[in-house]
Amino acid sequence: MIDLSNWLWPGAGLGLTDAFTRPWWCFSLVLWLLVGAFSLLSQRHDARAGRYWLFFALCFAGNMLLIAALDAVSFYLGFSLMSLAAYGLVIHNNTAKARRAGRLYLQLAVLGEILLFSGLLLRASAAGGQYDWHSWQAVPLEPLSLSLLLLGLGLKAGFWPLHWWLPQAHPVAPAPASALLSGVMIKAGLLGMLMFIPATDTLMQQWAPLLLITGLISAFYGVLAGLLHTQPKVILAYSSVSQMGYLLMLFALLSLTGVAALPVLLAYVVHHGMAKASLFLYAGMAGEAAGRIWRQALFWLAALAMMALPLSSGALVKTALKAKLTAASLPGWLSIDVLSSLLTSGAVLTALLLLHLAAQLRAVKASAVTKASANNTAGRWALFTLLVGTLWALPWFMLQYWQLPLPTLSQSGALIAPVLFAVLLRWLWYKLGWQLPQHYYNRNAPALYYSLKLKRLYQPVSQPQWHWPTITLRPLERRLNRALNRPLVSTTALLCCLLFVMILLSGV
Amino acid sequence: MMVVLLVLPLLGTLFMLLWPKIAPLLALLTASVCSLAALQLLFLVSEQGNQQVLLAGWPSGLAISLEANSLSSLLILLTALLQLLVGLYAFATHRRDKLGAGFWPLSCMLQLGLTALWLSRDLFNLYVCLELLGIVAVALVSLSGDKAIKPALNYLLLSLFGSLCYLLGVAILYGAYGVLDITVLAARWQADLPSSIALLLMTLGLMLKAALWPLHGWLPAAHAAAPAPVSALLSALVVKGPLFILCLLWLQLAGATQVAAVAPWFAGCGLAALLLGGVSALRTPFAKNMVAYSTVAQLGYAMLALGLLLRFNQPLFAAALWLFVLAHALAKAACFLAIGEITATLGGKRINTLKGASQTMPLAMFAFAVAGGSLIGLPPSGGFLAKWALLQGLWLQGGQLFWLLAIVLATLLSAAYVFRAVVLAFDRADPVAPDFAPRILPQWLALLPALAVWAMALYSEPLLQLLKQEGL
Amino acid sequence: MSPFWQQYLPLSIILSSLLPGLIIFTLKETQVKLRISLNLFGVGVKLLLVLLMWQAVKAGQQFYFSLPFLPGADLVLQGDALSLLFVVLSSVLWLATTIYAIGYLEQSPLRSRFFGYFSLCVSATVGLALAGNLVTFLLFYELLTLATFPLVVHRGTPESLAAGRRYLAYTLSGGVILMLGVALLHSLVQSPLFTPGGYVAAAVSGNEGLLMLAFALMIMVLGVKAALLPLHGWLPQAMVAPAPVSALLHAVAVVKAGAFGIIRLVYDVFGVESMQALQLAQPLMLLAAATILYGSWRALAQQDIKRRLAYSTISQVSYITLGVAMLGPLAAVGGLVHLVHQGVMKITLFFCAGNFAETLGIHKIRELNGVGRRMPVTAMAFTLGALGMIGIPPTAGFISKWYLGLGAAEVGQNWLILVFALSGLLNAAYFLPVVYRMWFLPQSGRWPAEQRLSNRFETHWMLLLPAIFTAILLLLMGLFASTELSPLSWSQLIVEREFRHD
Repeated sequence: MIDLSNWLWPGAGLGLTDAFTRPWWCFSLVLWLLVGAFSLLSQRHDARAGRYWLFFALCFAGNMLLIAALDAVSFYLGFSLMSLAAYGLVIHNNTAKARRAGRLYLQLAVLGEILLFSGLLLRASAAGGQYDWHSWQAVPLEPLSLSLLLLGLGLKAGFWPLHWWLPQAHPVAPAPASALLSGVMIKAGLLGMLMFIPATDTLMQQWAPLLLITGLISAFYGVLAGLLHTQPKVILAYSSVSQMGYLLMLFALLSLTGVAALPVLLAYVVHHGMAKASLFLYAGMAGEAAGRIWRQALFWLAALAMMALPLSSGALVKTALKAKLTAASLPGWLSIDVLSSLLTSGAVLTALLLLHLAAQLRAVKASAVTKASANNTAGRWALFTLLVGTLWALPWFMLQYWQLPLPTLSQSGALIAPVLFAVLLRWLWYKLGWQLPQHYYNRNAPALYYSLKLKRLYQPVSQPQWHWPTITLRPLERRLNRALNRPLVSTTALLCCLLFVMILLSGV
Repeated sequence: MMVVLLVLPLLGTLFMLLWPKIAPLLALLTASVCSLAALQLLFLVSEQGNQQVLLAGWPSGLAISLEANSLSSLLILLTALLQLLVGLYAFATHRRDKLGAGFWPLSCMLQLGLTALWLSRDLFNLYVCLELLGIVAVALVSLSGDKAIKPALNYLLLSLFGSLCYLLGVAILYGAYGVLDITVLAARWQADLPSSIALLLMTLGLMLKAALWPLHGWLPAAHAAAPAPVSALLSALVVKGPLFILCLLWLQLAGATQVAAVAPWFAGCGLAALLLGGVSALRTPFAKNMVAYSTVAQLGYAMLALGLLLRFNQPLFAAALWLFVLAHALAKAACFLAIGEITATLGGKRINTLKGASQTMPLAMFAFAVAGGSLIGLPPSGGFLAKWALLQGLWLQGGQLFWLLAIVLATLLSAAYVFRAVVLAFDRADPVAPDFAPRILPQWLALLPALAVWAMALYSEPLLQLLKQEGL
Repeated sequence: MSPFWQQYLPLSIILSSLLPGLIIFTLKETQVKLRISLNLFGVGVKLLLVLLMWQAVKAGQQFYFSLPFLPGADLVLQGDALSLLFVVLSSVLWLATTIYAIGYLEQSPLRSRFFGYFSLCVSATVGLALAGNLVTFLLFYELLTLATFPLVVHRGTPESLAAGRRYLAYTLSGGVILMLGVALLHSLVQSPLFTPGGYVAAAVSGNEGLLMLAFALMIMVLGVKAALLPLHGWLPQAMVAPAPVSALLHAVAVVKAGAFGIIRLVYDVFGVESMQALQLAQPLMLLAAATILYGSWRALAQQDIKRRLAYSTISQVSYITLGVAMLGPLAAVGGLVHLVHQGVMKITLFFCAGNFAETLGIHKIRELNGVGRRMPVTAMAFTLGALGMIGIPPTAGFISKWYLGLGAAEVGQNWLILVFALSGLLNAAYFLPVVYRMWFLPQSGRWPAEQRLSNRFETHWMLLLPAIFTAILLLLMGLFASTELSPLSWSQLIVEREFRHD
């Protein structure tokens, strides 16, 4: 741990002293480096490469800083550095669409930051001027600060009711940037929750079931909304919304089961980060995979890990999640059976979404033609392979370090069944030509409309303004001047006499 | 010493009439010697207390008696110094402005009259001084030539009317008491109707001559029409003479009931002068008229302070009254000299002439602004000291919110008219070109009294103490 | 350092800018070198003296110099920790602004006059900071008004004259009322030295009404300069002045003088206990909060860069007032440190706005498109300043907002955090679009009036250097907030001394 409180702001400290920050940091670093190497190749012919790397570096620094932060201010610094710099990545392509999405992103990012700031302030004050988040663990939460923190961090994490920016911003950013956004950056919100919202807090424990439900809704909503879109990156973004829902559930479970759920949460984060990053990267170069079976196989590997095929990291984390859920002490109105069946149907839906994605990716490929050199392409695919390889090597790590339970055979069956069911469903769907009416697809999100409204509100052309009423006394003055224009001597003498009489009468 | 102060100007006048060629030199010489003598007198008074001289060795009661306290010696010093300064200014500009040769003896006479006035404590002597002042002042105004005839005539008529009123009052008093010496009179004073009428007649005569509201009508035209050095003298000194007598009358003679009855009138007149004079100064289109109206307004302060002093008998008001007189004399002299210099150089009478003056004549404009600062009462100027004393007095008296607000309003008005001119001077879009190259010396001369009024702040504590005790 | 020397230190700090200023008035337009060297000499001497004083005050020493003036109220110059905060701020920023002004006015007429008044203005500000009692404060307050006016109307155009009139109307009325208030307080408790904890406490019982009146009168006046809500009208109009003047006006001289006065009034005249006993803090707090939001809201619709900055100043300066009005130690730290931080940030923004106007002729926000490519350094400095205003770490603005927020929570006024949050959002709403235009939008058409001021840099180096300097400063103040040199540590020292008295 590095104590910087005598140099930087009061209480400043950096260090990886916790069970969760250390793996988080390592995982983020790996992903950043991998994707960074990937962008070296993919942005080679970018006219605005300088800008890309500037914001990339800033985001990188911010992300690493916020993970290593030991105090609230350092975290906030890293958080805002990352959030704001990510704006540059979002609008990198500089299309009208990108700028629209960027606007929405920035509006929500700033809003989130301010909310987070207020929440942190209240916490720091409640902790008696201690900025070190470890010492906040014992400080009881208040409803106000808890909701501020949840909202502020949730806007970054992007689960269901706070997800508006994800489906807009991810598709427009360059593929590696989306990979990072979805893979690591939105996880910063979750990390903040872990740091600043003590799981053992009584208020948090009361709220946890609500969060659990929210996560569940988010998990379903993401998939269902994703199914209604045909652009691969939008689908992936919605998939992120859904997956963040699962993570939120895990976070809630942390309060309900005690810290035992922490390794599962970490494993889930790593798993989703890797898988989502792979999928986004693939979506960026799907055109190059046409007719190349190996490249497509790599995609399927990543997708299957997402679908939680046995032996994959997905399988491990999903099983563990279910186990934790059943072990949790839930309030009476939440039935475990309903929850676990919901989880199973969630798995079906996830698989369905990924199949949908695969179909869409196949549809896109004809149009996407890139003119990159062979070396460049090969390099990128090599890195992609490395990433997918890491993804598939994850189970080993998870078993090794977090002692996640290995799924039993029946559990594996329970994992495969939804996938198979989804495949069947998809096939039926395809065969029977089930289709919703066209206008249900690819609808514009209302968020963009409200974002525009908001912009009009804060960039008004004119504002009501109060003006002093103009009074012209000039005519009155002129009339007075005329009236007073009398022979001076006699008037003065007269006045003199008048005064004499008046003062005399007043009783001298 | 007092006799020297009186004889010197008299001799000066005589010699000037004999040798008009060296008149300016003589005037300057007289003024400078008088200044030294006045300084000497001030030291004398401050060391040995009040000085009294009976002229020509006659016994008290018959002889013309002269009495100098610290206030009068201060006023004498001020008179002499301003005479010197204005003389220098007149000398520096007399070729350009074609100042008549009559200026020098007349100004010397003016000094004589004023000095005698500050020293006299006898109603008839005071009348003589007043008359002398009036005549000389009218003559000085008429030096401007044809355009000044009408204002000068008005001035003359009203001045005579005022003198008559005063004389009538003096006659009534003489008839009733048989003495005219103020101290003796005060001892025998009875607050009956004849004495009230006499007092009132004198008061009105003096108000007329001091241009106190509402009898101020003659002043703006007369002061504006006069040549710049004359206006400076008139505004700075001449109107203060009758005011001095007024204070003598009411503070030393009048009985308690009379005082109580007249105090609100004085305060009211002062307030009206402040507000209406201020508005007039703000609205008049002519530069010198603005300064003249400002004199009307500023005299309102003195009147207000006098009224409050009579009402509450609070020594701070006495200090305020005389500080106003001193600060105003210096500031107004600077204002008139500066404005006179600017209007002469830029060629125009209107305030619009000042456009761009901060560029073309920075020194004169600076002098005007600095003097204006004292008129407004910005610290640390003499005007500020006076206002501070007034405000302190009012706050200590308690419950005088009306007067306080009125003073704030009046101050704002004065700020408005001063800065109306100053803002115009900063207009760089359309500056008025000077008719000839601006001259430096007259501008410095205009600046001197303005700096002096700010330097008053350095001696604020002794001044406040002195004037508080004095109170006449 | 001999005691004799020490006694004259406060005076010589004032004289170090006053004397060069007076000499500069007499110089001819063509004596450029002499003028510049005089100016820089004054700046150097002042900084040196301030450094001396800083070290001594840090060691716990007090400086005192007095001249007899009114009975019961001498002219007193006093160097304590609080006054030094302001003195250091104005001296350092004077350095930057002087260099900037030399570059900015290189070819314009009437430079001697300009620099003369400029020095006068700084002398008045420093005098205000060092004033040891209310009467002295009043004196320098009026002097500041007068010295600033010629700077506001320096261009001499009808608009600037109108602005000057308005400025005078507001500030001179204020000055008169201040005189009234000071006289009232003087009649109640005389005018002793400013003391931590205030000096009116003894007179509170029996004089509640009058003391409240005095407080209201003085806040009204200081509110004019600090641009509190109904009295802010002059500030947006006064931005017609040349850029260095606006910079000085908004960052150091006038606006800050008002805020500084409020600090003095609340802590060193009335004191926390009397403020609580008279219940004066709550209205002030409400007023400041309303101003914060109103200023930000009005800034949204301004299309002129400097106008938008002016409304932003209205909002930001009220943070200081708010911090003071909360009457808690942490909030006081926030308010005090914002006095410095806001100054540095706003001066950076004004420098940049001036650079854009001078180099490319840009005055409107919509003309800023793509300026980041043409003038990257200036645009970067502007961006830093804007981020600071929003309160994004690691800029200085974050530190002050953090402490203000903590202070609000400390005194149990959680609704103020909402005010801060809302204002932060509004700040972002009017600053980020500007930043966006500069960096992300392509240049649209030609620049309004481009001048080639330098062959090597994007603009004249004398315009560029101050902006870089203050931008780096605001970053350093935010980053190294805990070091001994930082304004934060100094504010904590002041607050410690202010709140320790009882």
